Amino acid sequence: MSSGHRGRYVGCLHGQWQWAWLFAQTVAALLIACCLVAPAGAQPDRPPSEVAPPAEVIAKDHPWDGGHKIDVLFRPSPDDDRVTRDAEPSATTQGGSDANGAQGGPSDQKPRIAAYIVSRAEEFHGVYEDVAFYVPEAADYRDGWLRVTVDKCERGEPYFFRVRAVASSGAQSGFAETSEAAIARRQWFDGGRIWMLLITVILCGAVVTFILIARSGRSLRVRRIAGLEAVDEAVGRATEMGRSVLFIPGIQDMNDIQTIAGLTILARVARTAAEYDARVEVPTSRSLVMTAARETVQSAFMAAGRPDAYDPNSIYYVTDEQFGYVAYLSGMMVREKPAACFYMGSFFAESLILAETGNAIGAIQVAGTAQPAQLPFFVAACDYTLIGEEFFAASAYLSGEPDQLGSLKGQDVGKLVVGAVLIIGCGLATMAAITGSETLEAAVAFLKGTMLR
Amino acid sequence: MKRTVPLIITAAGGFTLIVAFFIPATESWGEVAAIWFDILAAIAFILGGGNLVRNHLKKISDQTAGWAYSVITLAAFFITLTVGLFKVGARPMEQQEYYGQRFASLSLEDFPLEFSVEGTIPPKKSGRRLPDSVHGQLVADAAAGTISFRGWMEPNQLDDLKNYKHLLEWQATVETLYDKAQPPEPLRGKAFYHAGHRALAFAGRMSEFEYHTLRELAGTPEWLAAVDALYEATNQTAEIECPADALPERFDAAAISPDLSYDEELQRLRFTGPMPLGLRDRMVRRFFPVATPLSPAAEQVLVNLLKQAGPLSEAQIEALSKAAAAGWTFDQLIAEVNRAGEPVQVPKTAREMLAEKQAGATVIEPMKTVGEKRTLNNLQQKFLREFDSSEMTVDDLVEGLRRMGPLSARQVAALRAFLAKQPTAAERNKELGFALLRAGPLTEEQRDLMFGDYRKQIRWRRYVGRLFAAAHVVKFPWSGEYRAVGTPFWWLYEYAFKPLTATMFAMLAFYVASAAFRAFRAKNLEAVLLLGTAFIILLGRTFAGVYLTSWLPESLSFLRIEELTIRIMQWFNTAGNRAIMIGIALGIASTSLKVLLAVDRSYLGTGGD
Repeated sequence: MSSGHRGRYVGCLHGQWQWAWLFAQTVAALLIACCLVAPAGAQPDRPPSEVAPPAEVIAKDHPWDGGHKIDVLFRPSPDDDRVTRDAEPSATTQGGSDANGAQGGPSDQKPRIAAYIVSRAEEFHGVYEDVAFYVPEAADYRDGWLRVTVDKCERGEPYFFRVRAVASSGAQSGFAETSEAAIARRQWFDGGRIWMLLITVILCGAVVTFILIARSGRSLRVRRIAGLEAVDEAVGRATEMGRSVLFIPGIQDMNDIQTIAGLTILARVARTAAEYDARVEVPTSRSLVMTAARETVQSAFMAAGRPDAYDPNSIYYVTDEQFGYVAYLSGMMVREKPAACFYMGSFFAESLILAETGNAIGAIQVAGTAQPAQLPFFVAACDYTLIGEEFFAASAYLSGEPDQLGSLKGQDVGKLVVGAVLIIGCGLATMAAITGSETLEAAVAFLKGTMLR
Repeated sequence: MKRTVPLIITAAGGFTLIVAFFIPATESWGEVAAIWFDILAAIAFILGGGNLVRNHLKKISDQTAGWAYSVITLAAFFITLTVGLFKVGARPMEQQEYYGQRFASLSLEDFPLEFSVEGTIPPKKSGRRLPDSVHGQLVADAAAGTISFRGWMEPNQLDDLKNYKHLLEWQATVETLYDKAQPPEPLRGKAFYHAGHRALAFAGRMSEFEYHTLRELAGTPEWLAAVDALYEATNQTAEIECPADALPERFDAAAISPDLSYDEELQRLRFTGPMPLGLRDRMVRRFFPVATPLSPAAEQVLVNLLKQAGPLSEAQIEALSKAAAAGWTFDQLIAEVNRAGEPVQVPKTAREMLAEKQAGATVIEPMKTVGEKRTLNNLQQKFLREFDSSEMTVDDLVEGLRRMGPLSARQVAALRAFLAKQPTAAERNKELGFALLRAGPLTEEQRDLMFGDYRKQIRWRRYVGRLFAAAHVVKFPWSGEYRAVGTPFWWLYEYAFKPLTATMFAMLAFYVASAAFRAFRAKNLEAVLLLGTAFIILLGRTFAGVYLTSWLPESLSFLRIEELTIRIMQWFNTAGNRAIMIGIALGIASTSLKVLLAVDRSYLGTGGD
């Protein structure tokens, strides 16, 4: 394979050294080709080209994936100056300078390789279609092989590949190809997610560990969260004023963890309301949330020893439509003037409309959401706001159960890990910027591109 | 049990999603779980809808305060539900209707013709099945080494089968099978078998000869019955009332189609058989000549006519001239025809490529060049430039061009396509009329001059549309999109729902103002910082803010207010946001784990079973 390519490339030279060089190159390339274990096939009738093709191509299954990727590895074209730059001095001693000297310096004559085109067929010497246009970077040349991962391969099917070099002038080389089929196979684990798994195991492990520690009887301290302390106060105020408590569990469905977190707080609100004999009204924007909220409130009333006071009609469906829901709630708040309003769940543009309306009617308001964009609105218009993680800590905080408090401590371990990664990452990036070290840059790239992908 | 079952379902669903994320073999489990949730949510919507109706009916029944709003809500609910669910006013999907064809029921088992070729279906190690489009039609006989196809293969089926496996031998086999699995020559392109619809179809009106040819293909009773039904269906005549003055000038039914006729006595337009979309479009434009570029002389004639009909200002004459110049030119047409005369790259057949491969080729190009370069000669170009659609039809033009030199079929097609895309003279005059109106008033007579032909064209188009609808038998009346433009549902959405929603959203602006007023009161140091930051950000996003600090020299450009805004948002705001988001992510992970492990069951209530 290589002999043919190199032979054509130096074919433009003249003089006796040209033939000597050609002969030497041919013999050397044949020897190399015979020694290669890789299934690289020769291309007997490559079309004339001034650009030498890649020297060798191997295709193999991409490890640890779902069976849709194949890695194509190839040695760069001999004309690729990013490879030959280091090799030029030795080439000179072998007489290459004389051969090339006829037309100037060696690197001057080499067509600059800009990219490589990888094409694929389902049969050997079939119809190849281009599947990748690969522009290598300096770091890609490290071990002498360039790698392209070809996606969208059908699992279990054989594929053959060809690679062509493209010069910056646009000229394309002939191709180097694989002669043996590569087959994409599915592995039992997606290796691209190993770091994700590790992080998951550390976080979950920490949570489980602290739950076990809490069960062993060790006391765990949790800081005071004003928003959750205010639940009793708000419900008490509604009772005193003889008005209802309005609880809004967001506008997302039950598959949103914020809605679930909201319902855990609803359980506490409903229980307090049952104890105080206050009316809780829960208009929902999703049918499933309505049914789940009914279960929650009914159980809370039973736990409070007031099952007779439970009124399913106070938990009802309004509409799935965001602003239709808001219009109903705003109107209802202005008409009925609830004394306490809870906004616990996932909110979007409606957050401020609701909170400002509640503010206008003088209700005591407690909000909690994990939508960062809506937090400022709630902070501005509500009396208490559960910010992000506080919202998820509510269940543990309100119940005071050791199991749940342990999970909060586990979360803190997660914060420590994140903090450590932040410090290491910032340190590495800063050092890489100052020193320009390739190793540090590679470490930063690994951290960003592989670990935290 | 009441709490255990939901907990088990939750844990099973949650762990399935986690496993599916890491283990490729279980990827589909996650998708299945998501589908199950959607099904559950859809069923639950019935609960929600029922609850809504019940609550509002109760309010109406009790006549509680605001019960009239409940009446409106329920009325809107039921009207929207009805027009959406029953797709009121929605046209059937074009690709489902096969305009221009008639159908007769015939199951695949009763289709009597099967076509075979030698070959085998290449196996798929991934277990992928044959394309759905050939389901039940393509079978392999491993013992005999043949592949058989029942029915007549359609181009999309050919493409699907070729894409099933990109092996030249397989693709060549499929091509051979496609050629065999076609109706005999007189019926090719007219008779079809749609296996998915379990129907025999015929495009256009079936002649006696075609009928007998079709019948002779097989003698089974089912086949004969289907052919008879199809013959009858394709020979039905549709008619509409059409006054003679609605017909275009020089109307000639035979010039359009032998199946079209006009009864002058009864003033009825008739069409026999199903009408294809192309014929409908041709009918609309056939007698309204395409607008050819206005020469200065023709433009002057038009100006004179307008002046005779009423006053015309200089501004109007200028506007007319500008609008007339905006149309197409003969140079464009010539360039288009010459471009079509260039050799073109067309895909090779798999059989051609297989032959190349068997001949030893290692590089097989999938495309080949066909045709030779043909450009219009001077005589043809001159003839084209003299084309006047009021005196010559496009057919005459093509004939004339052929007499004067070579003209390929692609060039003819390009010429026809180019002219078909151009406005008719009536449409051009309408545009000119609007240009005149924008520049000044027109008298009634001038309006008639500019818009008269267009009115006629629109009127004729309506009759053609009615005839087209009358000639078509709707196959799938509910296949249309319920929110397609023009449907009652779309109307409700566009003119009732959207404005109401926008009104609610717009109120947000006022709420932001009132919340900002309260939040920015400088009560303490934090509030002062907040106020200062808000001031910079708000000002930095206005033109005034940019203008205020634009005088700062380049060396101090970082102090310009728009630069400060960017820095605050990029550095401080992003950092704060990310801190919150990290906390949220950890909170979500922890809460999810608690829910999956049933450590936290409070969302199911705090009581026991």
